[in-house]
Amino acid sequence: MVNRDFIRQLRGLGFTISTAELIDASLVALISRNLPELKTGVRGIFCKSLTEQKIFDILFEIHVTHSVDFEETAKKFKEEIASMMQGGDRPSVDSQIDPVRLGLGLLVEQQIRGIQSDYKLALKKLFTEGEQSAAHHILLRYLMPSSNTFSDVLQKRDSVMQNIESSLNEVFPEYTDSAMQALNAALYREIRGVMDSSERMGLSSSVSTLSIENRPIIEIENSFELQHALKMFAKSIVSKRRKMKASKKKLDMRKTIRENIQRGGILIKQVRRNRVKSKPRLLILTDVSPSTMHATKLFLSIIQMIKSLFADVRYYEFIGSLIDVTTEVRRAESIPDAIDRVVKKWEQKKTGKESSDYQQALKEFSYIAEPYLNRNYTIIILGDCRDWLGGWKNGVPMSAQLIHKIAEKTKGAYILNPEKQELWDRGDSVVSHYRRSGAKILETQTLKQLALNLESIL
Amino acid sequence: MFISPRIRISSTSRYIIKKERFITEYNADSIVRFTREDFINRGDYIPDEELITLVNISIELGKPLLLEGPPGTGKTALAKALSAISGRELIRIQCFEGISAEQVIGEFNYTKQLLALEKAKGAEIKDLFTQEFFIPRALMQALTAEKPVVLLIDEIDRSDEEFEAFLLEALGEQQITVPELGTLHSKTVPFIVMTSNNTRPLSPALRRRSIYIALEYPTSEREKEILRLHLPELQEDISDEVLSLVRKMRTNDRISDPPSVAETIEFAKALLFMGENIIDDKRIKELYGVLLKSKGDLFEAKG
Repeated sequence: MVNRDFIRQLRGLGFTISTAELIDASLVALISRNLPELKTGVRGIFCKSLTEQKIFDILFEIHVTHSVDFEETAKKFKEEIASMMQGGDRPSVDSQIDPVRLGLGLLVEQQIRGIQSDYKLALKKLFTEGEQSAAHHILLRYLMPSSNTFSDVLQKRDSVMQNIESSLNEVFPEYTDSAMQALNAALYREIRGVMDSSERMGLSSSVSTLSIENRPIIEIENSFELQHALKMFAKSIVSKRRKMKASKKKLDMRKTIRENIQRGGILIKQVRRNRVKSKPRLLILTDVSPSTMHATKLFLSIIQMIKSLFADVRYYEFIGSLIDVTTEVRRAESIPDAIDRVVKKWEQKKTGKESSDYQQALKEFSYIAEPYLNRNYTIIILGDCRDWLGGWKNGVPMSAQLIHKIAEKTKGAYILNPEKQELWDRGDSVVSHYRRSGAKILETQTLKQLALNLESIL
Repeated sequence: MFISPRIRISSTSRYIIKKERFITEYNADSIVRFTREDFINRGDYIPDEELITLVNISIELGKPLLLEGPPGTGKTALAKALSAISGRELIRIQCFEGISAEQVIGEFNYTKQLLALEKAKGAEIKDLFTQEFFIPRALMQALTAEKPVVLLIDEIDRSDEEFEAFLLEALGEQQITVPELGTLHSKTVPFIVMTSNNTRPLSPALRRRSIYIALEYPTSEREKEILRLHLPELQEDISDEVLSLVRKMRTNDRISDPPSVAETIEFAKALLFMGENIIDDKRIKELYGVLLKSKGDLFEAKG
């Protein structure tokens, strides 16, 4: 049953199946006594995550169990794959223009049916089924002229538009001119929309200098460039920390003696101890008020990408009150999924207070996170320090006292402020009070600053 | 299959030859498989059918098992059960951040080396870097054991990536290389079980060398069986109530560390211990500390 088509389809979906694994799977086929045993065995060999297991199960059903309603399964399959791709589960998805991977399930469905994979067929089917936005998506991605990024597409906009027009002519010769124009206009709008927002964001300049404050902006999930930049920053933080860990420090007397004993005890080689810095534990509080929501998304994305650096991370969200979203983030299958979950939880649990109240939020935090308020944990607050509703006592905001208590109990409290430094301490901003309370305030206006600040904290 | 001893065989070729022999020598009926009864009677462990299949396949193929799942889903218990069922010794490597190759392979006995040097004063110094002066640790013990063992590499996700990379040789080729001693091939094929809580993603190289099992909390029927196995004296209605309470806690998103199977058993034991003193919900809530281990979770559960 472990046949070539099945393997080809799995590989097409991004499964990395080595020759050794193929041999093992064949052996499983030999020793299996029944179909469920075969399925379980081959799945154990080919699948390396829960997501892969889900995909495998559906594909196996389609291949093996003829009693299953094909249309139903294919539909389910298509939905699954679309959600996986949208969720960015496979790291290579956004780094390659691969029609099979970007085909959002339909191409895979065609492969299953034994039809040669061709994006134009997929397009035709999508258009005739009325799934125009999906067709636009594929068309836009597929016709990107040897580039992964939107900015490249924008620069080559005219050639892209020409390609789109000729493709549409080819795919829908029976279509009327007006329908063609409508489709063309829709695609144009899509590109134009991207271009408008990217121009506002100054995307032509380096993405690292983009402001992370909330403005009309490309969403992370739609921007390859932003995703790429985040990945690069995360990678840089990880590699710097790894290098730091590998840098040699103290002399290891025990090992030095052992090393030199074979040379008659004459000191020839010194062995130094690797510098081991324990993994930090973080308590992350993010302001999800509209003014900082986008910064929060970026921040959570970057934290998720470098989570392997931490021994423990706990997440909390606040505006007028505070909720613990650790479970949501941990249970998420991908970064967009995590962000989606935390935003949803806030929508469900919010108390109606939509204005910032640091006093109330920190009070609740002191209670909820009490077991973690110790010297092992570092607190990172992402917020603009605009305590709109919090009370004051003796000319000091009461939230500052809470910050002081929290900072004293923990390894340190850092506030990443997405506002420009010129705006600090103006209006309801209480930055200087928080600074006096022992928190370190770091301007985090751009992605680059976000990455640098994280590096310095870690 | 005849192979000239003069030809040096690459590891891949050796692997394929090994597998070819496997194909010619084995068939589905000739293989000894562990059954559900084996696990229950000898291992005090109630597995589901998929798990049994994968364990059997993993043993047959000589590939390590990689168990991934939240704490308390029976990952370590499975390794222990396998040791009990197969009668093999269980050797455990508990991973942590900073664990190094020396800590699992072994090290040279420095004192013994010094004594040997002293003893040989004036005479020719013999080689001090031989097996004689080597203190083997868990991995070396597992690979050089005369009888096959069960090697449990627990919480591998807590170790560093360097350590994970080091393990690849042992997992894939069942051999380890110590520069002073050379490459040591395993005498027997140990059954390797690795567990991970998924606190960090493991490398694809490691995953490829193993058979992957994602363990989740057991179904209510299976958990009921587990309770019955460990506490046969527990009444059915109490068991049902315990399970419904635990399930409720596990599905509550506001509880960050839901109770594990082991904690469920302990809770049921606590109820048995309290006996007739359990008269109302309030007294039962006093025992929630057995199930939940943080203030926030307790607060949430007690309402």
